[in-house]
Amino acid sequence: MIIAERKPLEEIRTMIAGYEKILVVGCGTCVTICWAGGEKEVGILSSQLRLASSREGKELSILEGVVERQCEKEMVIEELRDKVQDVEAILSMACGIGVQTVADLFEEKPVFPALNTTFMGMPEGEGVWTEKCGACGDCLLYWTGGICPVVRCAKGLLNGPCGGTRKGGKCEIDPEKDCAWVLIYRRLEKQGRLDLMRRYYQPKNYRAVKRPGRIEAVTA
Amino acid sequence: MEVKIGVFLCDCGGSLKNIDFARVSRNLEELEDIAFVDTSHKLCLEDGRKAIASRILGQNINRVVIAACSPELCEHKFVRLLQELGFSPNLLSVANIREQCSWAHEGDVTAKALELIRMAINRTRLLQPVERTEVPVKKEVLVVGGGFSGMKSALELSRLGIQTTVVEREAVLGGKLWQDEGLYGFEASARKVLSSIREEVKGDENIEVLISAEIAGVEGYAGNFAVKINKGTDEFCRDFGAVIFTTGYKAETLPGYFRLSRGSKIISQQELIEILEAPAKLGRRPEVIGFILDAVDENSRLGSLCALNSALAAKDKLGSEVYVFCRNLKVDSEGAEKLYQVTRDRGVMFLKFEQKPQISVSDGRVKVEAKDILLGEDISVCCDFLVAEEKALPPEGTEGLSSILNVGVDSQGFCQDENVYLYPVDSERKGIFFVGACRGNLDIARVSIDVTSAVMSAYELLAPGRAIVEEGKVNVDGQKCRVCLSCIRACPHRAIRLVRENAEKWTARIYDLACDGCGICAAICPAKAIRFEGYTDEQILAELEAIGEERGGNNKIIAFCCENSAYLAADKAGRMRLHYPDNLRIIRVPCAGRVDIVHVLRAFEKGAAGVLVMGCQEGACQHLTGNIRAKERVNYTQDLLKEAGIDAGRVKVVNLGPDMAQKFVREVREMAEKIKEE
Amino acid sequence: MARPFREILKAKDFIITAEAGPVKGINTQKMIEHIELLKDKVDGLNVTDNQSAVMRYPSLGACLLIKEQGGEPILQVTCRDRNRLAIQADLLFAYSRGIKNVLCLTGDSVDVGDHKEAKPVFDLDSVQLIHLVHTLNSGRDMVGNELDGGVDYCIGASATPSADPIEPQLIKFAKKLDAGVDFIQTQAVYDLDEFKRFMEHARKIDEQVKILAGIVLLVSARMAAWMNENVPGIFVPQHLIDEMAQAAKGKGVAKGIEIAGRLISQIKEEKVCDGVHIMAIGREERVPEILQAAGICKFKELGR
Repeated sequence: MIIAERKPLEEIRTMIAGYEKILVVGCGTCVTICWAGGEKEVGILSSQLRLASSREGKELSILEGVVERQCEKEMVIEELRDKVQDVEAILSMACGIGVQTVADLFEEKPVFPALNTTFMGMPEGEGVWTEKCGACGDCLLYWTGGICPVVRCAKGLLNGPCGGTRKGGKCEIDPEKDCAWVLIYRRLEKQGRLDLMRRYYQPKNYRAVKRPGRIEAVTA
Repeated sequence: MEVKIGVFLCDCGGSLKNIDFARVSRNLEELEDIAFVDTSHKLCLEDGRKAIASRILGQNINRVVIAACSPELCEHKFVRLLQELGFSPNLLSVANIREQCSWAHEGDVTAKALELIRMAINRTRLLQPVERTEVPVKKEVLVVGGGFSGMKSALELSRLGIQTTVVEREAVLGGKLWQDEGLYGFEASARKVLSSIREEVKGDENIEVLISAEIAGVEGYAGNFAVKINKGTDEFCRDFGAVIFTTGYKAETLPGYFRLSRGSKIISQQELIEILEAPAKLGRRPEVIGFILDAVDENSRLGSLCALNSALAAKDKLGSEVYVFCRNLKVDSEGAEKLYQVTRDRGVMFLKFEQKPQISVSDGRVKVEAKDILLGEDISVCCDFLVAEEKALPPEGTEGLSSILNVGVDSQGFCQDENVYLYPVDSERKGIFFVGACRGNLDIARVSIDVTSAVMSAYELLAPGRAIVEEGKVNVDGQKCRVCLSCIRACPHRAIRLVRENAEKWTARIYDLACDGCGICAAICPAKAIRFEGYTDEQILAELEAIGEERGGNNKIIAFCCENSAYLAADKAGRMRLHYPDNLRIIRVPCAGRVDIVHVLRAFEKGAAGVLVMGCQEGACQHLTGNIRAKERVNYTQDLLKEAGIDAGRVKVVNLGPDMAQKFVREVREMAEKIKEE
Repeated sequence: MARPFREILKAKDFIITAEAGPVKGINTQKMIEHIELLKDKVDGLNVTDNQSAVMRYPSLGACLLIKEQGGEPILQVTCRDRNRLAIQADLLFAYSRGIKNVLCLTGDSVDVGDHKEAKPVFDLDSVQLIHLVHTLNSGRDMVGNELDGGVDYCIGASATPSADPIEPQLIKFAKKLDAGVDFIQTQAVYDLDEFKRFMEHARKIDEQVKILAGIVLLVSARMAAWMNENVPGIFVPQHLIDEMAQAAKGKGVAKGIEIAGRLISQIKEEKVCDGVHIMAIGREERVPEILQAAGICKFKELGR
């Protein structure tokens, strides 16, 4: 799912500087699960903003809300239609998609992102999320033993590894991270399919998805 | 339905002289939803209880607030009373105006008492009743491991009328003790004793024995475990109310120490026992036999006892010279001291070393060289046999078992969390017990006590055939649940599962009987989907609302106190009349792990000048990880405060034990000083 | 005019190449001095391309300088900074200016360099790049269009003999050899036993390709330890760090030269591989001393 992280408070305060009545709205889907922008974090951020403002003797009134899925127009309208009336600006705690959905629906109100959307990933353990997929539009997991070299290899190599692998099979860039190609090697070895790694792979089609992407499914 | 609160004040026989009860009463009566305010001298005694009863039966109130001594002393009495009156005891709050108010401060404390009662009233307004229901439990126990402790457990349970199934991995019952012929504890041979126990087990109609069988999976929760058992090629599922693990241990000769490969001269206990059984096979009688103890592992009681027994047996049976090299022979097991005396009296020589002895082989004999610290001399002994030190280790498969059960193991791999609340036989999961050597290094006397503990706990849980639970006291709102699995991962009692009922959406579900009411889940849930009745966010925040700025400034200190540690320490401080600043307001929580980041931030928003989060000491949290989580959350909160331009030192986590009144007072005074400086 | 590298590869027993690092700027004076110094002492002269992701004067430009000075340049192309269009274009240009040797590299990651916020390209990897050069050599571009005027590059690639684990590297190495390379310049070699094992693997796959062992000049114990941590592909063994540490103050580089010379002469005597590639970045003027220390006194003139 989409993983995001909250921006530092200072950056957020700079964005909303000058506004005295804002709506802080979270999203109940991905960002709740990765502890970045759910109801709990809406409460925490609102508290922090009020504390910071009152310390400086500034006025700040905050309306709090959560949309079940902030990238669904109907849900956003349902939840926020009335709430936006009374505020000057909206601080969205959703991923970039949610922020833009809200911005598109309430064009007269400035909408600010409280989060940095970082990657598509999964939980490795409690409170730890790692990137797994880059949405390249041309999935090649079938020949890499289920390990994606496009995002998990720092250079996105298809004929890896590079010569910079650190001792113990760690990545050139980050000694804490595993070299994806070493992982792929070990996985394919376990499955007795190392021949897949020995093949030559042509340069990637980086335009498999024409950006900005758009998909139209059959409506039936 | 409209809330109507009945308030009962107790002045403790008129002794709480620094509270103006009349003023308190007048003040409270003005509040809208207060039906009445009664003052009594001894609310907990007969007359007091009668007064409560008549009010409850007479007046149409649906909530009760009692202001009296510590709820730790009186709450259970009022709970029982309310239950007898058919009034839900969940709709009661007790304000501690004695230990944590009248006794804790000098001078007039009416204002504080009033505030404490108003905090309780605010909370009470939001309380919801919780139903007590019966959950059926299976009156059958599974014992895993058919050694000494396993068989003993089964027999004791049988005597109490509980059916037991004993699952044993090997083809015979008996376990490790069967091999440790010379183990202390029996005057007769261990095997004779075991044989008779075995016969008893076989003949007992309440006990079913499955040999050559293994556990493949354990699902469910206390009272209702579904266990998958593999026996040969069969796999079947059985239901049990409780599970007792008695998987024993294995002994290993410590390898690294003996740099020489274990040749025929350096032998294990087992090999010595075989020699003692058939000494004729040796040909030549060994003249000197040496034992090495606690050179590497000082805590090896079991190994030491075996060695002492063997030393004695070797002396008696073979007449050899016997030396025991030891560092600090620990004789705290029952009877061990006596055994040591007997062994010495028989002529076995004990040599005490400080540095590890040097061991070498020369002329087919094992030479042990060490400095005896009592003699102050270097000693060299040539032995025909040297019995190697042994260490007790968890048996094969322990790690696999712990992951099947979803329980932790300690640093050595034994099934025992080193947490004082679980000691001796509990695991993190209600209804699963660990008994005997699988818990670590024990002796027979202790094992027997453990067996009884586990048996009694299992009996208590299962004998009635049903368990009474507060239904849904901690409850997940299935609609709000985002299925992020945070609560499931965080629950220290493994009481939460992922379920999908009636093909509806997936949700986390809390099992009432397995839940121990810590609230860690409620605090960690990012979707705020978990409601812990009595300690919901709204109820906690409502208490904060009542804390005013009565003394002309933002100078209150809020202390979230865990009811197992800090709250008790605060009470003790009151009893000892240790005074501390009266701007402290305590909010009682079931565990420090219930305290959420937003509670602390809201406390500051409401005007608090300092916040203390007080929980159990390291390694002593009743809920295992509550205090650790509290610490992490407070650390994070400090960063958040810094970001908002607020001094991070205004929030602090404190770890203390329930009797540490001095520390409690010290921390409060420290925080009070700190906030004064601003 | 220097002899074409391709010919030398076929003709000589022991091949020597070296590396020159370009300037950060346009003041090519020093570079030209290095080129002058080395062009006649080595069979081919590489110039690095934004090595370690530090922005510098391009390899292409420096190779032109080498050509002007009469040396034999080896162009280094990495995949980090250019996409397939730019790479093909650059290769056409280079060849048209007489640069006929190319070393195909993946490239160090942007994070180790000085422009850490740059977007890394990696449109291709080194194996794909080798294939690409072959395609150009055959008279077509990557998508099959015929070229109006073709190229005929001598193709080189790199290898990392001391990687741990080694197996994935060997698979990659095999792919490079399968793609068809004329020469290999390896990452730094310090452990000859390990390198010999690597050579065994290599020869099983391809007996013809010329393999040149990478020799990186050590200048101090501290630098050696720093390189271990920070420079991708370099693993200096502890005993050499210790040997460097024992050198007297101010004699660090001399010690490094001694070690390098020792390695090279051993490789030559035992015929471990087909030659060496000397990397003395920042100390290019000491390369002749290394050659001398290695006992390779091919040229009567040494030094300035």
